[in-house]
Amino acid sequence: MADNEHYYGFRPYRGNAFTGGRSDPPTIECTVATGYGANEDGGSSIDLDLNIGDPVKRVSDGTIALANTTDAVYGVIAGFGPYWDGDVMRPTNRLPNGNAWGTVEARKPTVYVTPVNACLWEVDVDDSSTATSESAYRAFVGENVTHVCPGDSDTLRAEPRLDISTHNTTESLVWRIEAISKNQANKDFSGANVKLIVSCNVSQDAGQAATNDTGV
Amino acid sequence: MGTVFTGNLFNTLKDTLEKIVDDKYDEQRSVFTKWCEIRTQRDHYEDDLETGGPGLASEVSEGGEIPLGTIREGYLTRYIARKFGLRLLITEETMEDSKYPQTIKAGKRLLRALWKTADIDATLMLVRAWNSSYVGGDSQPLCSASHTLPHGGTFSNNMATPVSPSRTAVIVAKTQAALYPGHDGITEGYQLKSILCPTNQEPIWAGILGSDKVPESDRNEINVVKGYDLKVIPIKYWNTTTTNYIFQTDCPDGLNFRWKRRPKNRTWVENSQELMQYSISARWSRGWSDPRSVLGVQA
Repeated sequence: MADNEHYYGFRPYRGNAFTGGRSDPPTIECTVATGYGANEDGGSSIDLDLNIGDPVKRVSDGTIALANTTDAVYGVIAGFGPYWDGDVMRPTNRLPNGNAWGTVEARKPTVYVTPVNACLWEVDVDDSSTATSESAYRAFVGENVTHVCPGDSDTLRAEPRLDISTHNTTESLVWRIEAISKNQANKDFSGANVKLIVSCNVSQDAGQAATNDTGV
Repeated sequence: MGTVFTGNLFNTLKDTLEKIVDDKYDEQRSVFTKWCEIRTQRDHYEDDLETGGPGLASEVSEGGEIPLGTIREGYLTRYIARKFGLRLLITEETMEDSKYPQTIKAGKRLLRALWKTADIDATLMLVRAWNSSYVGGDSQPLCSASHTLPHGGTFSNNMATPVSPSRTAVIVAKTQAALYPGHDGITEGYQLKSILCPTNQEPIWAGILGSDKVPESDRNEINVVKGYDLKVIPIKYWNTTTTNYIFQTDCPDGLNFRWKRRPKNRTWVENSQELMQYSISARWSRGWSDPRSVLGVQA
């Protein structure tokens, strides 16, 4: 058994046929509340940065925050504009935890977010024991599953992955497993970091129910 | 994966760097071309058909009829081309503002990615060599004890009692390959020519194949396997094992890789977002038509 290469976060895979999504989905410009600090699921011991590939949710003040496990998802971070580092606006590929920009509009950080229903997503699973063969993973297609953001205290990244052990037909689970990725990095299905293609089952899109469809 | 914004390469926006540290994009160090036969596929799919016969002649009595033989078809191996591709989306701001164009080099990055993909896809034939979910024309995996014969019966191209890399392994394999049946079911025999192995085994094989004398005999006995002129091909993408390895024989129609369309680059602009789009794609198939071309050791 050998582990497959790990790719971080949710990656846009291709256009979603049901929403007519594009394979190069346009992004929405969002921002993050001043002083916002993301943390790992169910905890507050790791102060996480926001990174490309992290799932995010909208919060009531119109900003976005990390979508921890079981949170309905608004989108996935695709990139960043500059952020206020205390002295100047600094271009970046991640937004540091607790970035304080006060009330000066010109200092607010820019986060480019791809709406979650704009496309299908590729993401790594979080264990190599729930399924150990291609046929076992294929049996999960059509089921729902949730994601986890366990956090990494060294890299300060959220490390979002699919919590594959939660696969079920339960309607409240956030993601729908659509397919096994044809990425050639899926070499060994008995190893870690197998990649699956998912769509969002519980999103914050207008008109979507609080819980959605039962899986197959 | 996704659009490359200026933020993705924010350290390249000013001319402050001494060196860019990255993979070499000007050379492709393919491994699969050393152990796969490379061909061009002309049609959407290609079939290789096994045939065999007529067997051996019989003694004929005086005045008697000469007995009949026959020719049979064996299995059909179909090669259907699959398409592989990859894209990069880069904002025009990134193209305009990055002071280090070598960090983008979209065309070269994509070409390198595709060749690596081809290498890994070819290596999957070895990774899955004993996996019955991935079979050849005779419905057997590459290395199996039950490969079929056109006139009935089976043969094995798997070492029955696996042996770790050693002179014994080479001698057992040489003997087994020399006794492979032909497609007519009668002993044909093939010679070993190379050893495909994970990279950790390369130095072990070098010692086994390069030594003049046998250590166990107080260096009195000559090392016969040195004279077999076997080539060792370490395969860096075969990282799912450290103990398995495969001998290749001189049987034709073995592991092969067929380009249906060689890598092709495309570039265009998505005008509504002013995104530069770069893509590369290729089509190929790979497989084996004759399992006698290998002898597997699942140690």
